[in-house]
Amino acid sequence: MPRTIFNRIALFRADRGLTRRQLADLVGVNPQTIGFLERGDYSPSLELALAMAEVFAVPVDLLFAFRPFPPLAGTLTRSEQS
Amino acid sequence: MPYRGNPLSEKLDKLAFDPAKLVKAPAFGRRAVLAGRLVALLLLALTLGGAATYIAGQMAGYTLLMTASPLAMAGAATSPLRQASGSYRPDERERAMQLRAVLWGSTGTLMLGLFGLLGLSWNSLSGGWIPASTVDFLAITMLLIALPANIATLAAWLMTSAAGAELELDDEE
Repeated sequence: MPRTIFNRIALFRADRGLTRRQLADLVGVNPQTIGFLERGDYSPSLELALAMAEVFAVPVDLLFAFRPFPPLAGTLTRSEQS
Repeated sequence: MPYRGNPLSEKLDKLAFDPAKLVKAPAFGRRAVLAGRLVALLLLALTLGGAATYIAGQMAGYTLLMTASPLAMAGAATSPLRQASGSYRPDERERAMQLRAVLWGSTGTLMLGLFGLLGLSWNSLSGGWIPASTVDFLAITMLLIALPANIATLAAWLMTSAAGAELELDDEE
């Protein structure tokens, strides 16, 4: 049974102001595949995961993880308090 | 002149100046997906109905099977199952979906073949229908050509249903 892979693609895509089509063109996949990835309906290959991390210029573990990512609001609050 | 400063904008600019790099993805809207699923279901019913009619002793069943085989191929060619066409190459998710759909088609046909052989064994004992003439074997061949293609096409359309809605959501942005 494959493990569930959680991702922050939608978050980074919104942050960079990209549409699904633009992100799909940048990583060379069908725009529908971006939707499948964002919903967690499809786990990317290592090549695609690295291509996405390269596009967003972040380490791949900031984009994909085996555990759910904490809510952004909570993370921001904690970082502001510290 | 490419925009400089923002790495993402620079990449998008390069793509805009080099249309050959753009992914010419097929767009299956919600209506196309629903129509595709309905047509695939009808073709599967035509194939199974043709086989049942032929076994029941009607030559019309043979005509139905002869019609179903090329239609099954045409249905597969116009579905998400189709291979690369023109400058478009399926991405990794699409290739995985195609493989899964073909596996469904092969498995479904294998199961029907196994149960069909059991049925023929039973028929040979009880005096029921068993293939005897050349036309009988041709009819079975047509069935074995059409069935995996029909099941695979239907499976591919079923796995594409969410993608149609996704594309429409994307267009709204």
